[in-house]
Amino acid sequence: MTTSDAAIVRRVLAGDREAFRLLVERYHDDALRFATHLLGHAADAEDAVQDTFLRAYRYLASYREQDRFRGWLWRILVNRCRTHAADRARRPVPQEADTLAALAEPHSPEAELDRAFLRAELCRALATLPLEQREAVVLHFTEGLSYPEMAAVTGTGVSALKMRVHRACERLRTLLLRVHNETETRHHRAISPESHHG
Amino acid sequence: MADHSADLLPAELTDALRAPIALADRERRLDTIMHGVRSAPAPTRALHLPPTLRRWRRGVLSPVGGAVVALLLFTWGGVTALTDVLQRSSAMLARAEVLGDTVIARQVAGGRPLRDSMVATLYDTMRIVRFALRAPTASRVALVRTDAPTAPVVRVATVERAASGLWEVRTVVPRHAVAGAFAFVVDDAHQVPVRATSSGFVPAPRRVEPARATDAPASHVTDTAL
Repeated sequence: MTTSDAAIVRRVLAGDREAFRLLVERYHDDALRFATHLLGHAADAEDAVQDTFLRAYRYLASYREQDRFRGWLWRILVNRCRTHAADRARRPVPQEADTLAALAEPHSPEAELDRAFLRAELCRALATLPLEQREAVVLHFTEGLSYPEMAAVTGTGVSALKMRVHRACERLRTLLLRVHNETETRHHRAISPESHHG
Repeated sequence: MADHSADLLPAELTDALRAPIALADRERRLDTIMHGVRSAPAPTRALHLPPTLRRWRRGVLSPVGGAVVALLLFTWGGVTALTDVLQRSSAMLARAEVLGDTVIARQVAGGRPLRDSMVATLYDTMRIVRFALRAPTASRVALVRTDAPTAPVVRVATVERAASGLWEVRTVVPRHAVAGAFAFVVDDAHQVPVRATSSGFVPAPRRVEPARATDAPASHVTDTAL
């Protein structure tokens, strides 16, 4: 039987500090995926996730049981990601190698390679979006949040979030279609070299 | 706006977004977080609002609540402004007293009777008057002349602060001006009419009707033709 988040929080507040690990194990992977998509940098994402859990522990008493713990945690995570993104904007452009390595699993079969390539391109396309659009897209498509839930997490109105998702999707489709066409062209030239020379 | 965003991204892109991230050293990451948790101070229970008041926590007012708050603020602002006006009016007291006439000395005129009388009459149409206003809360005071309700307000002088709460100015005004023709303007907002003291302005001149021939007693009528 799975212990509810609220029960774990009660245990932690009662003094069982190690019970917090259950929450970390439950939400760490999703939080890291969200932060990686949002920040586009694995090291920054890991820092943001660590900060998020430490802050969540520190302010655990402010969590109210009628709220979803995931939503409460994601509010902290979004704020930490915004802070890290602002810090990153003041520093030089990061190398993408570690991000792509985290997203694309090595030694995959061919189908997995295609998927990893798609993920890498998606990551590059996401990096070109403004932070607020990236945030909206990742919350909506990666985390599967509804617009009211996104509004609660980000503190932005539902209409603005819909507009951000709409614009981000248009931009992503354009960018990825261009990548897809270039890939198709290269693939076509690779299988018919005579047409390339002719 | 209708929610059409679900079909805005192809399924493979959504799958790519939702795919889990490969973590080679997940346990190490979790240990790092728990190490930070162990070294952090324990969270303490905070005082919470009762459930009926929790809706106020986010600072969002319903339309009715907003209207009530706006009404309260409007009422409070009106009461405050009215109280301020009443306090200012009760605290301010304007007075004017005549210090003397501007009569020219005869020896200055040079001993010519005709010229002396003309100049003296000319100068004697003015009087030196001291205007005073007690207004402890005022920061700027001016003396204006308001002869007629429709006439433009003419600034006579800028009053200087003499003592604590007392504003004074001495100026020359027409001899037949009445006290009600002057007023103090306090902070460019409040107008305080000047009242004459016992030694102050003469009362407003009464209009004297010219005598008519038919009003005269019959005994005074003489027949000039005789």
